[in-house]
Amino acid sequence: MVALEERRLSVAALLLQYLLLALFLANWIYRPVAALKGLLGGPICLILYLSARRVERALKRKRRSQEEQGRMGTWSGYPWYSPHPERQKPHSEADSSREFSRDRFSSLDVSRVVTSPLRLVVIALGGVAACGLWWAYPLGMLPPTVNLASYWLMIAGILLIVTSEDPLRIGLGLLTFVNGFEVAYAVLDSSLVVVALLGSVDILIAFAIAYFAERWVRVGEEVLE
Amino acid sequence: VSLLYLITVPWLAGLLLFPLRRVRWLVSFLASLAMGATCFICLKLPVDQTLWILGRPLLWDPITRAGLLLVLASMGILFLYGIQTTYDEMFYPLGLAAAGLLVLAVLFRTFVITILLLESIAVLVATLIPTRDPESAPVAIRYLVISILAVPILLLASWFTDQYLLNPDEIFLTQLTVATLVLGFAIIIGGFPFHIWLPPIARSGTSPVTALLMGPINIAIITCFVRILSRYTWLVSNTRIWSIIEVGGMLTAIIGGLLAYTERALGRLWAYSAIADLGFVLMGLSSSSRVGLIGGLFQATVRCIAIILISMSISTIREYCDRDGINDLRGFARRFPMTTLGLTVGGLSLAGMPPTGGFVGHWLVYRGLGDQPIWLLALLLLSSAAVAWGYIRALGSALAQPGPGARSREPLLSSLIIFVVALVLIGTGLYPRPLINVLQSLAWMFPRPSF
Repeated sequence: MVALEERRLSVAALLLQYLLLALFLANWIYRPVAALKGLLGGPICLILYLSARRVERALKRKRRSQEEQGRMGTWSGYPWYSPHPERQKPHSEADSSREFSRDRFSSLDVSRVVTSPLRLVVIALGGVAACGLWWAYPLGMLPPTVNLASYWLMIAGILLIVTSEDPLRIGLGLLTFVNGFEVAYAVLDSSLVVVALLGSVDILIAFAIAYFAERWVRVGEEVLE
Repeated sequence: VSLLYLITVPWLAGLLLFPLRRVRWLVSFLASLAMGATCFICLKLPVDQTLWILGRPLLWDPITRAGLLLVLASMGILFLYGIQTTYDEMFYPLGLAAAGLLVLAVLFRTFVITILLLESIAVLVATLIPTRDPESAPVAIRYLVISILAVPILLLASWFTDQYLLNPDEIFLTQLTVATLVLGFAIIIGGFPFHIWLPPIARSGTSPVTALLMGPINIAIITCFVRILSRYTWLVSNTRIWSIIEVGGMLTAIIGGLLAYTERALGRLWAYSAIADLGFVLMGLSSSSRVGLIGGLFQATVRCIAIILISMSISTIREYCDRDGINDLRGFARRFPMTTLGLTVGGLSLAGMPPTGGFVGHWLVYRGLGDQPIWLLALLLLSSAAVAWGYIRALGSALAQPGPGARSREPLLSSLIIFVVALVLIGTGLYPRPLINVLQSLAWMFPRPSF
């Protein structure tokens, strides 16, 4: 998920994560509960996939329009960088916020499917950190493999959050972090009420992430226009 | 009257008002009416009754009643103000759904369920944060991330409390419980790390949503915290938990006040002043004296009212002034006298200045501090003065000569609501005895190590 820049593929990776976690948890908790956790990945990933598709389309549209502007000979291919005096200096905090978002939105590279090597290095270091934590601070109440899986997913989630810019990728990181915690908590407390509540909250989080991603794309398109 | 009415009314109202959400004046009126009805049920419900849902108990006691009354009444005022102000149309149905979840979170006696309900509320309210400001969606997701990071910490605290009951001799378990419980709650009330999510929301989000987070939701979280503590007597008798809260409160008050002094945007000034005031509430609630505790409860009450009052004023300012910089308020007081009054009274109350209710709360908290070194009290006073200076600067700008072309006038109903709430805030400052009497009886039931 960290390695893939294409958001739809990242969502597919998240679905795979849910399924693998269900298989993994089946060794430690009541199997129907583990299956329920795995099935939960379906609706969550469907919600996120629809948003990912919209985000990717919007970014592709942006790229196409940038290329067209470039062919028309606009400075740097970015019309908003034209040296008009009104555009050179932000008037207020709100204007500067718009400029900042416009730059950030326009700077997203949509041509890659696989991420930059730097992010891969960061995630490799995250893996080392997870193993280090597991070795130095093992949680006695958890089976060692569950403990390692939990540390790894939580660290991977946090790294995805801090290295991402758009709400959808941050959301994928957030769900990975939540999965990391839930895999450990499921072993500690797998009562049906808690599992059901955790599942409902996960779906709520997925809805919220999808909403933020849609809002982000819409505002991004508005500021680019 | 059953506890079920209390739980279902906000949900039903939210569902019924969803199709009407575009008729803003009607939905605003009906939502405030629903909150009024819920407050009425709160007052009529006899205390000390229990309801079982999913095999878990819901308990209705005086502390819960007081906390919920404040939460629901302040949400009702917030909804009512929307009659003449343009709130987001989803604010009413989602706000009512959040109210329903808040009621459940406060009532449930099971720690884990309370935490998961609080998490659901955070997710629900986070969806209300995005506006047309390009930075609001990233700010909303930042809030979501921080709130969700707090949940594992609190779930761990819950697990540690269960483990302690099995191994009462494990001192390390007590320390872990105290650390995780305090840290988790500090994160979700915006007390730690205090500049991460609240000021950006106050700047980029809408003011009613910010008010919801800083006022009613904060009160509900504090009520949940108190109820959790009252369940675990071994935690209450641990003096370390109170010391951590007291020191955290002092730091929050001092740093929040100093950051408020540096702010030139009303939204962030409001956020930092609320954070500074939260520090006083925490100091009062963790005070070892009963006067301090009453001060903390008093301040929590008037803080919620002050936050709602400032929220209403800032809503009007943003709607008619388009910007919320202090310097953009030039001449605002002549056209919008009640909005300016609301901003000033609310701000001075958060700063603890007379003749507002905030002064009484701060005074009682200071009395409760008693044996603290003089330099610390001086720093706290300085922090209050810094907050007050921020609002006086805004008042000075609003009283200046107006610029040309400004013709819009204050809406009548909005100004009336602001006037009444400002009057309540001044009333609690000039005549605090009735509120103190109510809080005195509550203070006896409050979980404390000793008096």
